[in-house]
Amino acid sequence: MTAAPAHDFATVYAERDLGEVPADFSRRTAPDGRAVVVEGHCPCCRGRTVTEFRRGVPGTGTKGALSRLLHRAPAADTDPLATEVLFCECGYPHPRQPADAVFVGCGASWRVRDTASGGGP
Amino acid sequence: MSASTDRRWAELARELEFRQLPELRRQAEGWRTGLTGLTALFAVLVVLKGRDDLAGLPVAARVAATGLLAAAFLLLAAGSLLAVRASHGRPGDEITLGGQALRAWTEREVVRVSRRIVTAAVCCVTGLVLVAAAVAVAWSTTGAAPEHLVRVTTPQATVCGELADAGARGTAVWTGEGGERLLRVVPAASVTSVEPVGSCPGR
Repeated sequence: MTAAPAHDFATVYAERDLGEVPADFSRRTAPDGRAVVVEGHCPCCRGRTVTEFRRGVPGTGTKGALSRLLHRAPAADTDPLATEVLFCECGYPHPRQPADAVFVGCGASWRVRDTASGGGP
Repeated sequence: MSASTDRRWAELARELEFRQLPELRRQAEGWRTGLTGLTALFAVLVVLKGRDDLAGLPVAARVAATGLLAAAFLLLAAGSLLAVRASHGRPGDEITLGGQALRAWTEREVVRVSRRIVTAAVCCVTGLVLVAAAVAVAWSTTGAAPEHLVRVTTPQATVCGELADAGARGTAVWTGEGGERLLRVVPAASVTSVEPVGSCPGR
C-alpha cells in the first residue's frame, strides 16, 4: 500500500483546468441520505479534497407530468463522480487565493476519468 | 463548455445550498397567488345571474351555453395552472446541487417553461373566447323580463302570471317559463280580484 502524497501547501492559487484526470476518487452517500460525498486527493496540490453534493430545490422550475408518469429517471440523479467537474476543496487557503473564492483550495478543477475505482454508496 | 463556465455553474450550485428556504417560500407564495386566482375564476364562472342565468334559457341554448362554460372553465383552469407552474415551478422538484446537474436542469427547464407559457396563453385566450360565446348565447336567447304581472284570485285558487287578455269571457294569464309556459283562462264569473304584482312565486 502506497502512502498518500504530501499536500503541497506552497502551490500558488490559480484557476487551472486539468481536464480529465485518472485520479482515485471515492463516492459515498451522506449519513442523512440527502447528499453524495466525493473525496480523494487533488491532482494538483495533493491535498485531501472532499466535495458534498446535496439534494435541493434548484430554483423555480418545473418537471413535466409526462416524465413523472413514465417514471423517467431525472438526469439530476446521475453519479456526480462521473458527470460533475470537481474543484480543489482541500480547505487550505493557498497563496494568492482571492478572498471571495467559493472553493477553498489551490484553484484546480478536473473531471475524474475512471469511475470504476470509486466506492459505491 | 469552458473551464470558467464550469466554475461559474459550480459556484451557482454551491450558492443554491444556502438559499433553499427563501427559494421554497418564493415558490409557495407564487402557488398561493395562482390558486387564489383560480378560486376567483371559478366563482366568477359559476355565479352567473340576471339575464345570463342559464336556468331561464331554452333547452338547446342552455345545453350550448353550459358546454361552452364548462370548456371555458377547463381551459382557463389549465391555462392558469400552466402559467403558475411555468413561473413558480413544481413543488417538490429536487436535483443534486452540482454545477453540471444544475446546468443540465436549467437547459431542460428553459425549453419546458417556453412551451408552457405558449400553451398557457393559448388556453387562456381560447377560454375567454368561449366565455364570451356563452354569454352571447345567453343574451341572444333570453327573452325580455315579463311585464304586466297580475295575481288573479278566485274563491278556489290564485293564479299569478303575465296578463294576456281580459274580457267578458274571463282573464287569460301566462304562467310558468320556458318549456312550461302555459296560458290559463280564469272565467270571469269566478274572479274575485285582479291586482298587479311585481313578481310571481317561482319566476
